[in-house]
Amino acid sequence: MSHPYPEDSTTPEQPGPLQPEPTGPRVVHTDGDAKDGLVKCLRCGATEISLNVATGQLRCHFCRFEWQGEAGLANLGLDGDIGELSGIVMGSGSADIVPSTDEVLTFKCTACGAEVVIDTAHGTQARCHWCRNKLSMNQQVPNGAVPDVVLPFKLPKDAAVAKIREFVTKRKFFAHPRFTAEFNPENVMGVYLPYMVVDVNAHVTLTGQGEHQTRSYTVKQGDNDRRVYDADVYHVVRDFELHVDDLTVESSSERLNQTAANSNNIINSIMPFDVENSVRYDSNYLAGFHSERRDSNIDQLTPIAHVQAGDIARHKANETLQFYDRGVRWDHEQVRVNGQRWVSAYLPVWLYSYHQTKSNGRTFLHYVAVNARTGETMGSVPINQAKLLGVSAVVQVVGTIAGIVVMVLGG
Amino acid sequence: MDMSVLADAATGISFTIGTGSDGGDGSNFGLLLLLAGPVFYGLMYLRYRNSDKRHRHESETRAEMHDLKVRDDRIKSIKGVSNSRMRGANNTEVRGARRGITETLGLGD
Repeated sequence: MSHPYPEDSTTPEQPGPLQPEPTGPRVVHTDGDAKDGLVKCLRCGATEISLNVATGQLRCHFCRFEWQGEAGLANLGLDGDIGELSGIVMGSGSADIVPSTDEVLTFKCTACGAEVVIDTAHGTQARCHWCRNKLSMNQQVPNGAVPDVVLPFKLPKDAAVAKIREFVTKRKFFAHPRFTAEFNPENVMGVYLPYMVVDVNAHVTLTGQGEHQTRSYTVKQGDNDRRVYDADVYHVVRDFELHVDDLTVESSSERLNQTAANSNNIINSIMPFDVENSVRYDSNYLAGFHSERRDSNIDQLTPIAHVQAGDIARHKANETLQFYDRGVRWDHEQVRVNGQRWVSAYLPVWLYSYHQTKSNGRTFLHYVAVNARTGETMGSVPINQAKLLGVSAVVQVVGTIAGIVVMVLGG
Repeated sequence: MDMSVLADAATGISFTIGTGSDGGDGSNFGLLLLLAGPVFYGLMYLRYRNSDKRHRHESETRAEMHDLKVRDDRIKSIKGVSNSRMRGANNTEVRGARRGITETLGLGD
């Protein structure tokens, strides 16, 4: 980002108080030599290029030549030692979104000169109506459509369909009959969803008290025995440097909104991804898939990332707290973030969605999601409430009878 | 298949009862059996809807500790307390989950 200075500035060059270092983020440009327009096959010059999921390489549909995209984080200088991180480092694809930036952009076809429109809300490629060449958008514009890196699909569609079918088949008994009748996993969609990947270098100091059990025994209280415990109480301090690698946060406000009114938690639960294998962004990886544009900035995601870094700090500290078998109460927690590195990424998800309309007219969107790198599958299946309530009632009756018998026999 | 679902549920209930009963006390076990219906409903709801699932960021994110300094000073001993866990213990707390317990149980809307 450049800061214009007035040309007629006459500030005398006199020794004065030391000026503080600029405190803004350090931006690593990740679209340095990226070009919009025709991206041609390295061998034959055709523009029909897409990902070959089986090999993870880009393939020309015309001459079948395949090549590997440029490695992402390491080559872009966004994967260095976390301990050396200070201040904010960010990829240029993670820059703040400028609200007035157009979603629909017009490009001039470099093959025939016609004007071609790309709707960046749903993709970064379009075909020229006149010469049939495919145009790609690889340069970053401040609307969140082009990220720093992309993690290509690895799990083929057939495998995803099989995983979704297996997941749902295990949940058929109480599934809503309409869902069962309409279930067709072939309709699964490959979607690149937007995330921010964050490395955090923090200094953590946790201070509190911990308890270690020394004895457990029963005492008489009236006619009953009561179990009580003896314990030693300790003053506990843990002070360490924490290096968090590839903490991943959704960067679409729709996916971040995880409430009972949606099943976005399903998509959240299939993380983590092997982000370290992502490659530098190239629109051709998105050919044949859908994509969702990032609409959240680093400022909005920083509180989530820092709270999650705090969770990670407490979890790591627990590795040193086995002695405190009754638990530890942290009274003071300080997580001082010294450095953080933000990279925007498209990560691959196979998504099967089902729109349920309930009897009261309300609708609910159910997802079955498959992590297209690891195959981890999770889903939400609509329930046949009447059947579940009926069986629960039967279980209750059996339980009540068994409970009364046990209580009578147990005295 | 139907039977396997019911068997799964039965396992879940006996697990819940097993962990909930204190030392095999007959009356507690009986009381828990009286809740078999709601327990069954809850287990099946979560099995189908998975509304309690989330990314375990605290354990599934790669992280390393360096330059660890520890301090453990005994302050006192306490005797005859009735809680098996320390009061106010928060070392396993997770605050960055995107969804609260109210919403997990479908009570948020």
